[in-house]
Amino acid sequence: MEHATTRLIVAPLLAWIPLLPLTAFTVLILVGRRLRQYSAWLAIAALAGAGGVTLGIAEPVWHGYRLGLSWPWVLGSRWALGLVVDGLSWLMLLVVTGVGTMIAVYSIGYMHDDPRFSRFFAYFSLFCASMLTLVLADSLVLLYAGWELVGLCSYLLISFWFEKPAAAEAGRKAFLTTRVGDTGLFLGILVLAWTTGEMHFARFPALARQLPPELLTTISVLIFFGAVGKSAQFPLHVWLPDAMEGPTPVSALIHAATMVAAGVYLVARSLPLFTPTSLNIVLAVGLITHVFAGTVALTMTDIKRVLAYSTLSQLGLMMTALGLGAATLAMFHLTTHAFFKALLFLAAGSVIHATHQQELESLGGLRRLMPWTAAVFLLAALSMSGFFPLSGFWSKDAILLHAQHERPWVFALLILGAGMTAGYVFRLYLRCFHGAEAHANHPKKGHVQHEHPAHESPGIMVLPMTVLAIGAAFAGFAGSPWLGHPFFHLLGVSDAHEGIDPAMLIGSTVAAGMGIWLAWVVGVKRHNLLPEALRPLGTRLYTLAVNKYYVDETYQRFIIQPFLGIGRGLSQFDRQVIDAAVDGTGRAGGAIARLKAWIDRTIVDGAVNAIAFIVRGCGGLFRGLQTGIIQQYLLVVIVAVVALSIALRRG
Amino acid sequence: MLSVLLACPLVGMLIILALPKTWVWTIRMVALLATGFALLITVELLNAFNPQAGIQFQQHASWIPQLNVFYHLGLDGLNLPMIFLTALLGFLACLASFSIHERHKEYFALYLLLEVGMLGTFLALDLFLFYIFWEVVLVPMYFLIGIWGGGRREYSAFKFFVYTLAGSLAMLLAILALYLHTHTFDLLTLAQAGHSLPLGLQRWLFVGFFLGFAVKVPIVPFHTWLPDAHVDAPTPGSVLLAGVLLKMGGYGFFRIAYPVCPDAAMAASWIMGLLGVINIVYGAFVALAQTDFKRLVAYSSVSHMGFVLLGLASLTVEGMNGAMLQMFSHGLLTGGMFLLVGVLYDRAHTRDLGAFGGLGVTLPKYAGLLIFFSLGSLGLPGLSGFVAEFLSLVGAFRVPQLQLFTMVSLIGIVLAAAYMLKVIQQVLLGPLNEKWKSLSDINAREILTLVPLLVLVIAVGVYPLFVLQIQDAPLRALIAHVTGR
Repeated sequence: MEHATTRLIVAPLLAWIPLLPLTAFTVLILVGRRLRQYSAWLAIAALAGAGGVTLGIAEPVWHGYRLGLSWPWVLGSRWALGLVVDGLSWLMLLVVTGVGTMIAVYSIGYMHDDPRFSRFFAYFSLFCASMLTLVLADSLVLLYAGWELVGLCSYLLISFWFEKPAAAEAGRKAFLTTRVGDTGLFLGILVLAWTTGEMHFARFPALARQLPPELLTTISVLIFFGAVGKSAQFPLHVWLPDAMEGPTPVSALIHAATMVAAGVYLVARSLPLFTPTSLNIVLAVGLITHVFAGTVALTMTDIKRVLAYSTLSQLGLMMTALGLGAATLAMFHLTTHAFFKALLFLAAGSVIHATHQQELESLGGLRRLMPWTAAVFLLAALSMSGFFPLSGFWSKDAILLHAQHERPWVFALLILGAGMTAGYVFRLYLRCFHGAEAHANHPKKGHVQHEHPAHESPGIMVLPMTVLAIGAAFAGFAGSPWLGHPFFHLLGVSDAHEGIDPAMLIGSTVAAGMGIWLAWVVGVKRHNLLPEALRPLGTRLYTLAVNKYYVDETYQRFIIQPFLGIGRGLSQFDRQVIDAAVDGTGRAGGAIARLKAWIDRTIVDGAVNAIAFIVRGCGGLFRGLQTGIIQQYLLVVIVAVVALSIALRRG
Repeated sequence: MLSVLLACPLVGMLIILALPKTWVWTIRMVALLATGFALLITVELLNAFNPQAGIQFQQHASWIPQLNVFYHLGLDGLNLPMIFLTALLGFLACLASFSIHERHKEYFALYLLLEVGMLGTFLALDLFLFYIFWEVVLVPMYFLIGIWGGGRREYSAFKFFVYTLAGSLAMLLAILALYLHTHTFDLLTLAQAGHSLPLGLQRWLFVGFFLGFAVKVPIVPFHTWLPDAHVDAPTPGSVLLAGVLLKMGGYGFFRIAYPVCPDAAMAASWIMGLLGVINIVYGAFVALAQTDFKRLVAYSSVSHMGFVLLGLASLTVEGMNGAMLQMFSHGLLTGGMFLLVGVLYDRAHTRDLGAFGGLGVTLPKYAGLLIFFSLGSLGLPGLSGFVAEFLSLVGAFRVPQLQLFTMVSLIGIVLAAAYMLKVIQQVLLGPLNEKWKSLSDINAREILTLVPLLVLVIAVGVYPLFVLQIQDAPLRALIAHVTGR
């Protein structure tokens, strides 16, 4: 987003925002076990402190100042790292610290009995520190650092219950899949470093004027590829549903409200670099994810997986808004989504906590047993479905309106998506909280301490849900005309968007109502509404969706297995070709040595021996002559003299 | 001061040789003190070092006047990080050597001789002296593997010795040819003369030096001694082998091959880049398929050393700094990894990754450290490996003819995550294998060997300038010398 103002205030205070949670992490990882229950309060205090600093700097940010802080990193000022707060990052700070604190409080109840209670809050704090760094980064390099670190925390927290093989595997899958996306972002940084050497977001608008469009497209698509991984957009979405193996508060914070939204934030940050071509790519990916994930969410039967696909779908919606060039609207939906989706997850966690069940088949009728959870779930569901005047309504309708003006066909798909959204979330709500109580509501026998039926969660969990419910209901007003669009003012957009369009209000409400009706009829009552002729097709589509379009299987078959195969193949090659060649050379050396030894023994030594033999033979001969008898010597002398004289005379 | 540094382990060795072999405790203490003093002197050098002043603390004495051979030592930004790394790992691995249980006297004597050789190699500014130290390193390492190793130790020790010796012979030929042409062994003079050597000669010299260094780095396909030597070496041997000996090869390029044969080095740039990317990707793929913990770490070294080549090939400020930093960082990280493998092996007596599982429950401290060093190895930002790899890649990408290689080597980064997470998963995660229920967690001495490395890995990762500002000036000078820019 281009900022009208470049007024920058140096604010060392900013460093405390990531440093407070980082300190909490350091303390907890070293002595957390001794702190026991207090470790949670340390983490919460640190995060709330970061939130306090955020609120403390609200005024200058509101007035359009940027607050910054910078320090040298490697070799020269080009690579200096820095933190910066403007409207956009301030908003993210507020979301992370605000929603994060609530989820941390909730976690005290949720993780109560866990043997690694303090470890959980250590990782939680590290995540917050990394996420805040990511948000505050003033250049792509520091953002990338935070980006990788949140990925790490996501890995650690997904695999938190690592004794479960599924959790361990899900964590690894998440890390690797997002890392594939990260290489795109990394390559984007490399291209920027090569062409301009400029990494700072503040310089992006100027870069956009300097660089040729083809290059800009390349760079922006590469950056977007990173966002695709982190925000789990198609085709790198596969890790997010599996990530639900982690504890539910983690799903709420990392995999719904903050980290997965980082991709949206990144694109919003670097939007000046995006050309029409790359925006179209963003739009296409966002739309595909929105619709595709919506259809899968309609068929899932695990509460958290429904919510995971719902998150994918909503992130797709934000990407769609970005693709339409409306970064502020994407950020608006990001904010309201953080509230209602975190709330949905926490409420779902409350159900899981109480019943130890997360399959829809084994749930039902919980409304009477857990009235408060049911109420906030319903509120969040209504908000996400976009009912007036809840938060979700404002952000979603703003995107719909924008689409209607820009690209009508996109609008049509978004209306379809809105219907599906209401459909899957109410299918979830109705089957969990309405209908007959499933007998499985009573936790399995064997859990001696949980013999009695499911009950409402403790206050420490209900309170944060209530706070988030207030956000899910009212946060949207910040972007409404009733309050004069303070939200958009914060993001530095002066021309406030459309007010309430009555036609749109009615249209989207009807779409959502249709979705709820279908959820009731098809999802709960199990009526097949399709005419007889279309039923085989319907079944086929259902099979496709319930199997998540076989994306996982395709990757397994065409990417993962081949890669592992290459690894095994090269390993064989290493042993049987390269190393064998080395050993062969060694053996050949040995053989040559032996051959030489043989030659030495038989020929060289033989020759030597032969000479010795001759000498010895001669010696023997001469020794034979030395008889010691004077007459013989005289005879020899005489013969010799005679022979010599004859010989000399001839000459 | 530099001679005193060299003398520390040497004197220690002589004292140990004079001690009766039953005084195990004394022998250990002498070795620890000797390496400790060397480390202290290095820290002092680090304090006294002036990054802008070029070669410092020189010691220059005639040694074999007939051949113009000098005892010439010196310190600059190129070897100071390596010296520090050697002294640090020498000290820590000495601490780790306390788990050696037989023939202590011979072990520590050879160990200290090894340290003399390593320090000397990095300090020497006379080619002849360099060669002597280079070869001195081989002998004690041969015995360390051959006597105190495991598995097929004789085979591995012999392979290591012969392979490296074969490489050194090529280097010796190059040294002799250089001497016949210039009548000096002085590296500083030779570097000055670099450009005046005919290109044909430079090429042959470069090939000779290359073969010598390539075996040590090691560059694929001259690497197969490495996994064998690592697997069969005792833990401290592996630490020094990967942490220091490999760096001798990389350092050789910086100190000798590039300055002495600048034109040939320029011409070979893309070949070095190609070899770099092959190292990165090939090493990573092969590492992915390993089932032996040590072998996996050994192949990860092959992969990581590829970044040194890539950065070197770029001949850019970022690339060269990245390459040097990668050597330093890899020494810290892989040193830590091998120490951790050793800790596990001492307890479980196996290195088969498939045999473990769930150790995160019973060995929480060990788990934390293993996760930390694995993350460093896979290039997590905030830790040293990331900065080094980042700079190498940025540098390489700035050279158009290396761009494709750079992009391909990004595969290595993804694969690094794959094999490192595989280690974490197979060793620490999943249900606990009942067999290891009674394994004891890492003890205080072992933690002590790892903490300094951990601190440095974080320090370099967060504030890399404290290493970069040592090495930046001589690297810039080297780039200017080689490229003529």
